[in-house]
Amino acid sequence: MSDSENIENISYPPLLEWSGASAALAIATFYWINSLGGLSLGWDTLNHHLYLGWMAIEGSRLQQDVFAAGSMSCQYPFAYGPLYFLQSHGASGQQAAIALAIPSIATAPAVWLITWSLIPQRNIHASLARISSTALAYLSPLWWSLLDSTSNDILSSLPIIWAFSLVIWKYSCESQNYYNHKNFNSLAWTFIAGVLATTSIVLKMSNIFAGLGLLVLSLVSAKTIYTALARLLALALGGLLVTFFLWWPWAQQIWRDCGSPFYPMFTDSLRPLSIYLP
Amino acid sequence: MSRFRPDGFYELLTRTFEILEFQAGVYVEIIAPDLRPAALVLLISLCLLWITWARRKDKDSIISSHIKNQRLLISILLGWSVSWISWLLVSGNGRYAIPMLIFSGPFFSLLLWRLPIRKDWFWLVLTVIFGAQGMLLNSSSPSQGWSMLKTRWAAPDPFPSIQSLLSPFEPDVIITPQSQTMMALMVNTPIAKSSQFVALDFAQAMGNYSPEHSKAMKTINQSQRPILLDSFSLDFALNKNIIYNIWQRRYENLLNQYGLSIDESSCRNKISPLNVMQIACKLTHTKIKSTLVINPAPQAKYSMERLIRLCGNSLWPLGAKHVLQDGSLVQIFRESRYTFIATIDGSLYVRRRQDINFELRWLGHNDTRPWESIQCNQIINGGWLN
Repeated sequence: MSDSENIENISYPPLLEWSGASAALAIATFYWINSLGGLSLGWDTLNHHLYLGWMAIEGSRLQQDVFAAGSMSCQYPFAYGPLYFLQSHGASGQQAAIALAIPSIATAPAVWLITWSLIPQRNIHASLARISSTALAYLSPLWWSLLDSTSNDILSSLPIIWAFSLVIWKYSCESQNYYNHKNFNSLAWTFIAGVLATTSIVLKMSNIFAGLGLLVLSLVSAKTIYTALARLLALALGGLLVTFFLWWPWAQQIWRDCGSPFYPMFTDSLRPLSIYLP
Repeated sequence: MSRFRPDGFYELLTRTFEILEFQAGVYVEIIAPDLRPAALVLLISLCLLWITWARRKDKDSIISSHIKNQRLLISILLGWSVSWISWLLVSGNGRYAIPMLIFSGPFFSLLLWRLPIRKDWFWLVLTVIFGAQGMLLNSSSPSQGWSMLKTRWAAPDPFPSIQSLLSPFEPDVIITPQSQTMMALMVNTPIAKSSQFVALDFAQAMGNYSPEHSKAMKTINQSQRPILLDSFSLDFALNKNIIYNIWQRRYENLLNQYGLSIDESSCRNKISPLNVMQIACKLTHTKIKSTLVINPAPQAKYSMERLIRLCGNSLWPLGAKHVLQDGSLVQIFRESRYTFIATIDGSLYVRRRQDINFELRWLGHNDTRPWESIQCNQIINGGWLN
């Protein structure tokens, strides 16, 4: 029997397998965290993670302090809010580690959905291939070590991992329905992906690299130039929305107090322009 | 964002495979070898070769023609490749590539699944990758990778307030003299809320001309009751009394440059449950005793500018610079991956992040060899003077 005869409607993933794969990662994650007996305290925790979380919840201190945590004082602080909240509300290290690991577990359904989009068959072979592929995503020493840290790397990656997942899933649906002569509009999902990807980039600027990949994927997979342009517009609109409401309020402050909205980059050229800020 | 960025085209090609190495600092601060990106890059390359060969021989496409979304798969792999290459070019720090690292495993197996090979071959290759990557994961012990203290955060409050240590001083400005300021010890305390913090080491490292330095100067000059607060881990100190005596003399010179002096009789210290020594001392305003050298020696400045012109992007981004007392110029590049000193005779010394000592790379005006024939790589990596 050929693959094409087994292909299912991609829009309806098998929920049992989906939730099973996610639950397996949750169990592994909680087991791992439990075995650690607390949370590592790195220099960055001591230097700026809690200080940024403090600013996220209690308000900016940029005008009051002189780079209290060095150049890190001017980072986008809101991804550290949960860490500070947990610490200031008396959570133990283990409780904090569990709470901070939730975003990592929330990546599993997204990764599994990508595997479903590309192996959309309901047989034991395909099912095992999807589960193995999802498991392979997490066989990374870096990933597990970050669960034992207070950094925002995993939390900030979560939205863009979902952005990839949603566009791959929806473009797969669109592709399938296209050949079935049904028109499936994925622009709304591309807009949501734009919102999610830009949120990741705002939380941590380094997610721009993954953002580039998402842009390439969205444009190159389009079957016509008009679809590509429409997707570009949808991504841009989503991005602008986040930029305006999520990034700009903080960017204004660090531009004024640190010299650049991208501090420490471009300070020489952008600092003089800060006088024009409202 | 660039401390692990490859130097040149050769490193750009090999870095994906170097990520397999069992040592810290290859692509991330900790030991975290990873086989998956290299496996994916190899598989993509093999597929491209196969497609080229198949087209010339007029064979079927490598990717199963039964599935209707080959274009999507190719777009996904192209997107991943663009992300990966741009990350290598600009950053190279593994923590900044979490989405690409996560996707490298599934994309590898999804591409393998699409190849026109028997499924038992698929499972064999996947088992090998699983086994090898599992071994790497197990051998690298990812726990404690980021910890800088022996004590973990286990009890509810890892940072007991240092309010009692600081409150007798009633400070309006708290000066922290080291680059890692340990602000975690102070957040949300009443003292912290009513005080200003100055990270003096950072302000000084940004250079004498910098706005950061000026802002620190202004805050210090306006302060009424400044104090010095230092915190450091005792985990690795053999004798805390020796450490304390060394500490007393450690910051005199730095503080003198800002017109401050330590009132030693006022110093108080406390050891936190995390085994962190906290020392607080009252500071008094004094005349600036040590002369602050602002301008580098002409030869030092010329030599550093010439180096920056020669190396261009290889030294991007330029970090902090400061002038030493004798007029030598210190410049940090690429998030401390390289620190260069240009001395008053124009000699250039470099220290790479992992090294302890500075190494001479250029003899200044005593060097008889023409500067025009030198390449940036020889200055950064050595070999020129041999």
